Amino acid sequence: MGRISFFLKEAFGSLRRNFFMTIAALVTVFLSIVVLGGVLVFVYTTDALLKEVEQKVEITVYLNTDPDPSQEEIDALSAEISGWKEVKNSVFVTKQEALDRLKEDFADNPEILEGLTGNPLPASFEISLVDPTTVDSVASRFEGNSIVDEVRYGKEIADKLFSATSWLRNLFVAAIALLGIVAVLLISNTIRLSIFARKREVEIMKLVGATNWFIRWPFIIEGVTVGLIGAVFAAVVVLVLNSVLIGRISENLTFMSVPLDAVPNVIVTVILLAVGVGIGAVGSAIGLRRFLKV
Amino acid sequence: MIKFEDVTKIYPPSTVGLEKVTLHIEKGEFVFLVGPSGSGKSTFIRLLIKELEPDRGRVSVGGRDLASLRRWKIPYLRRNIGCVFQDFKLLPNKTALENVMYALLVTGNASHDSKKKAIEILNLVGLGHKEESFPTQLSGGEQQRVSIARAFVNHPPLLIADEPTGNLDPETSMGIMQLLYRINKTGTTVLMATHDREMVDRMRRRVIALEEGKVVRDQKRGGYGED
Repeated sequence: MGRISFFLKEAFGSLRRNFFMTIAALVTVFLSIVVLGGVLVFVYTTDALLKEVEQKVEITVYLNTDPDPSQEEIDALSAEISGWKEVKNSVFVTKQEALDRLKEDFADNPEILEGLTGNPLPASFEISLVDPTTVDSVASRFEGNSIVDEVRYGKEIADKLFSATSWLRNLFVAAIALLGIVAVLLISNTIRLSIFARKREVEIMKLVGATNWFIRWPFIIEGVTVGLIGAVFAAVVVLVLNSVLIGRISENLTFMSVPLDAVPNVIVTVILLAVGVGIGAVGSAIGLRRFLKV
Repeated sequence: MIKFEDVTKIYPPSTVGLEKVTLHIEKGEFVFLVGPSGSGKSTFIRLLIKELEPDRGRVSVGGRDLASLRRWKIPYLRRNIGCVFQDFKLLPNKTALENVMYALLVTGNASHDSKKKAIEILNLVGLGHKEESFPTQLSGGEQQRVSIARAFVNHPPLLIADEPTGNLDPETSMGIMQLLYRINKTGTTVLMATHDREMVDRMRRRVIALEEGKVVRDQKRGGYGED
């Protein structure tokens, strides 16, 4: 029996002996990590949603109708747009296609379009961008172009969306940091209670000449074990709930496609387990600190 | 082995623990530390294992000035001082054997070796047949024997016993005393704080009497009271 197996035996022995304390610590870790995992899942999902919405920020460039630009002018502009590195994709919509779309949109009440003579609709370019934040600068390039009538890109919507998403992300980062601190405090407090019950034991160990690390290792192994087990349960609950809830939500939210695979299960699991182990270890180290001063 | 030079310890605000105590204890001596409760016996012992720091003066053990001993080295000091207490201070969740082995394990000794040593020492204190018993399953005298076995298993040059017979009946106390006497015979310095008048008178060893933190008597072959 080497040192390590001695420490392991000590740790598991006292986990068994202090069964109720172990359960209390386990439940605390479990709950903290479920909440943390919930926030993580929420962050990943909303992040994916926001990215998708951001992708939908398109620039629509309406061309003049009176007179309509010549094919050469259109080709020239098309080539120019395709040359910009900010542009991901550019689609030219002819006057006829625009009219077809309109007819399709009003297919249920065609009487609205009955009075329409000829085709008053402009041709347009629909441009999607690599990075949605460049929308302003790309849009401004059409100013003064002789064949362009109007540029639309929902500037306000775009701006609001960007400020909201960055604000939300900051909020989530803050929430996660706060939760982490709360979890460590809860764990160290639970462990302090369990150590307090064994205060005398620690005193005796010190009197016999045990070094602080010799006393500390079994407690840290205990903390890590509790943290790991709590985190495993929490990770299972979080991932199962995630797949169930996302399924439900995407059934009900038809106007927006909720990305089902937004949450990287492996990464979330690794994060939750690491946090569990971390708070277990840090918690027992903090909880033990007071009692090692003899 | 032990040197106190003009040692004073005051517990805040103004309770005197020890006052200007100067004394030497040589290697291999057997010394009784006597005096009423609150006379400074426990303070004396706690200074020796550096559980307390003196306010003035110097304490040295084995030629080493404790003031210069770094905090992280305290465990190494304590491994060289066996301690026996009135309340035994055994780890409640460990068997007699495991309690003795713990003192060996903290020093980093290989384990099958430590098991052998621990069994030997339990046999020596007459508890070879109770090695698997937990402290609650042992009588007071037996618990004290385990605690002596633990204190002595590393063969420390110094053994301190703080009222080791305080909770035991006279007959059991006698057995404990004989054990300490035998340990002393192996060359280990033994310092024993006690209230046990009869025991001190019978043993006729060096007696250091404390009163209100001061040494009032230091006698080579003394009794509990003045002769």
